[in-house]
Amino acid sequence: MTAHLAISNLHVTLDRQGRAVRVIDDLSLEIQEGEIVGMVGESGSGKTMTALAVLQLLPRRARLSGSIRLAGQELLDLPESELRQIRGARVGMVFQEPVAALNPVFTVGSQLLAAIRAHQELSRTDARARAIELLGNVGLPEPELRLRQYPHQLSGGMCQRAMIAMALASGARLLICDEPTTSLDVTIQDEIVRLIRRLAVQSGIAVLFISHDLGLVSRLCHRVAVVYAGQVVEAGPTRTLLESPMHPYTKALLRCVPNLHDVGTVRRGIPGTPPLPGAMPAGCRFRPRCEFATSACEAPQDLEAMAADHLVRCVRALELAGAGEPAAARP
Amino acid sequence: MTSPVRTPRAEVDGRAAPGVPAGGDSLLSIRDLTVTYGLRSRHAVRAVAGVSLDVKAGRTLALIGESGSGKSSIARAVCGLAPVESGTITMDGHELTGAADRPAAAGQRGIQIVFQDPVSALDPRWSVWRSIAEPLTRYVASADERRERAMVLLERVGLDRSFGVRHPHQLSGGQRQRVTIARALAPAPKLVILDEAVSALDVSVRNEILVLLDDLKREEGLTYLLISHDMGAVAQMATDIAVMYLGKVVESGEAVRVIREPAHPYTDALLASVPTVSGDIVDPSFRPRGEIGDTAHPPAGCRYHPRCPMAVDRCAAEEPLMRVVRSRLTACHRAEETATAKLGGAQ
Repeated sequence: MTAHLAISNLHVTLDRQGRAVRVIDDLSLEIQEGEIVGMVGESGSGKTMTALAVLQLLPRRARLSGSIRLAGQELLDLPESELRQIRGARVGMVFQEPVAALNPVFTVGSQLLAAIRAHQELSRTDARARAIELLGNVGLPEPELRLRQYPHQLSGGMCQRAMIAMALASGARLLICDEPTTSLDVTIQDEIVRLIRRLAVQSGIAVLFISHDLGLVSRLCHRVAVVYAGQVVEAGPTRTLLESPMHPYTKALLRCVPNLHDVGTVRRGIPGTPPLPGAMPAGCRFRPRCEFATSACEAPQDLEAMAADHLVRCVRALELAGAGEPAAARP
Repeated sequence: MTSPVRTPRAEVDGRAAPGVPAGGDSLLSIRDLTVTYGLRSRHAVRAVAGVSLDVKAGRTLALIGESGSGKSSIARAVCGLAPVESGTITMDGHELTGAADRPAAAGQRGIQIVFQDPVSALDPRWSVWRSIAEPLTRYVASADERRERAMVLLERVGLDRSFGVRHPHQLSGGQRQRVTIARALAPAPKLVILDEAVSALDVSVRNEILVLLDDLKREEGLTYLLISHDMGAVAQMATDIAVMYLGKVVESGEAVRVIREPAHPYTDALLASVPTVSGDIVDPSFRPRGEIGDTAHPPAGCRYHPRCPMAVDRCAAEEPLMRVVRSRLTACHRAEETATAKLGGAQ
């Protein structure tokens, strides 16, 4: 079976004041139809860059190498005119601030109709019927009223539903969600997450879900890739990552996830800050913040298969597998 | 005049026990507080409607609830930054709402606030030490001394002295938040209001700031009023929790009780929505319907009833009063049933 989206050995290099800065390093990722794959990491880890690379919306003079295949078609070779047909029509994108992503001076309806008619030849009446159907699909109550309303008349959660409707307006089979719930309340976040899950399960849409919240991702995604400083450091089925994480960074992130059974204990975060692109430490990029770092970590680390579907970029992964909680492992 | 700045306590031994006994006196006492924006306009919005709360010395009270619940309005009213229609706010025995200059009165009685966004909270043109020392200008005449105290505070929040001469844009988000915390500590406050102070930070950095706040609380003898929608931070920091919905407190009590066995269906729903990796703590059948109502036009009866899966006719007709149920206060007609209803739903 070929994956709906297959990214392999992607490298992205940006031009920063004449200096080439590599922001994504050898990233590979596959998403099947109906599958939700989470990409987790801190700010600056390259999550959004990956999303923009798929749509090729990177800044001018960004250099990409590797391969990005959508339903078998290589995207990196395509001319701009064909890419425009892919964006929107075959790949939908949902961003963080739904209210900011909508144009405040146009009604939700006119923006949604524009999205529908951009890639499909439909009469106004048919497009309107399709818009109402789409808004119903994303669980927006009173869709006909919403079409006449302006973004400020909708709550953040409703705007995000409208954005998802817009992203899927032209029948896109790949949905990229970049922190779609970060600005929303937890109760609304929960509803958006369940909507995305329903879209994937019922309509077979492939979803790339980008978030800094491992708890959220684990609630939603089938598989998870943990990224750090532009590299995948661990990837595998969600259950595997939650139950037997092997990279010290994944373990540390898990420690930061809310645990409502453990009230009143303040848990440590991860000391230090991620390295900046262009100033990557030699060898393992997590080494300066890692409590398990040894001289072996000074060499570049490879992403190695620990099990059939479990990849880890850590030379000490096997050795540490029995070490349990990182905080307790070393004096 | 006594110095408003305490010496750093790093060398002082004998740290206070975390959390003063529950019977301790209230440091901050809020009675029947009503906050109304646009009071004299036709579109007055009552963001807080008759709330009473107590924050005891040495404890951390967390206010939780969705956007529009009124939690930030309470924080702002305490600092003198939101219009109080009625009610009283008493800090350390002094009434604050009658003061001519309410923000100054709050500062004088030892209240400081740390906001969510450390980027806009710092003047981009000022060096870090100048921002930290700014609250000291009226107490400490010598600029050299103010600078020295700012440097001590920098170390206190885990930053090197060399950060003092930097500017905000040269700092990471976590470092900036450390600077705003140092500034809040400068006038030696008793109560620090943390208004979503860690919400904008990455998870790894967020927990580092929580560790710092926890250390500062014990070592400086601080009391916190924590406003947060981040239930992870709340579970780690809070000793007490008050849950707000549309301007009212619907449940309040010790953090352990409220989180482990919520009595109000709304508390339950909020906790159920928190993405944890340790499995669902609450039955999903308790999820609320729809979204938070309009603060300007709250529903009659229990304000949560239109969304509540447990609502009965009485909930629409009669506003529930706060009463003690299972060792905490809650305002729900059916609070006695929530524990058993949940067990039934899980099967």
